[in-house]
Amino acid sequence: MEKAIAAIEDLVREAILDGYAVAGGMAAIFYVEPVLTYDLDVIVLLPTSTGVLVSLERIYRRLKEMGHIPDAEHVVIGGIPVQFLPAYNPLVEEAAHRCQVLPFGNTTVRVVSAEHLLAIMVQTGRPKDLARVELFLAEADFDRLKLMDILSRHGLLEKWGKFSRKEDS
Amino acid sequence: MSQIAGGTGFPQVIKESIEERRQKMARLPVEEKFRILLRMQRIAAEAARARGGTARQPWQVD
Repeated sequence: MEKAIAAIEDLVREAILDGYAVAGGMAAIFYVEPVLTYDLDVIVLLPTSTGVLVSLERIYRRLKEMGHIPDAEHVVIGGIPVQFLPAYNPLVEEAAHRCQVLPFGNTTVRVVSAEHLLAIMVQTGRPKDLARVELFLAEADFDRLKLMDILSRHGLLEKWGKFSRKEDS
Repeated sequence: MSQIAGGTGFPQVIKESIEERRQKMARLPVEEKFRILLRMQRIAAEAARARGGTARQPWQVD
């Protein structure tokens, strides 16, 4: 994991990325019990000077130059398939900007906060996301006021309400 | 013991025990949880092989 983070940090230093934050199952592991995942999902903030496709192409090309192997939509770094996801909506962009810097081994990792992860899971709404919401509610330490603020600003209160009602029944 | 003998008590004991274990797991250091994830990937791959299916490749980390 440290190798993957070091490679991503290199991309930030080289201004190929404006920023990043780990999301998905690997981010969840920072807050709840381990969940089975096979990808390291990384939300990337791309430089605004170039288009998304050009920026992604630069990421994949540079990582290949560093010796990391592209594999379908992933790049395998230090044995871990890493998927780069451009911040695809305002919530995801905010999640990357307001991420937490957390220790991992001998390094630190930028990780989406528990509140933003919850909001993204509610927004995405796949069965596996909703199952993870349950895990977070049972196990994670998070700020409910902060979560409500995020849900409200991104128009997710109704979706959250439906989910909460299902949880209560 | 009375919880076990009490019919509906037994599932409650199991439920509480599972919840307690999950809380404990959630509070492990993230590095330990990462090692558990690697073990889960290997177990999932072995289980898939055993039933003749295919599974995602476990991470090959040092």
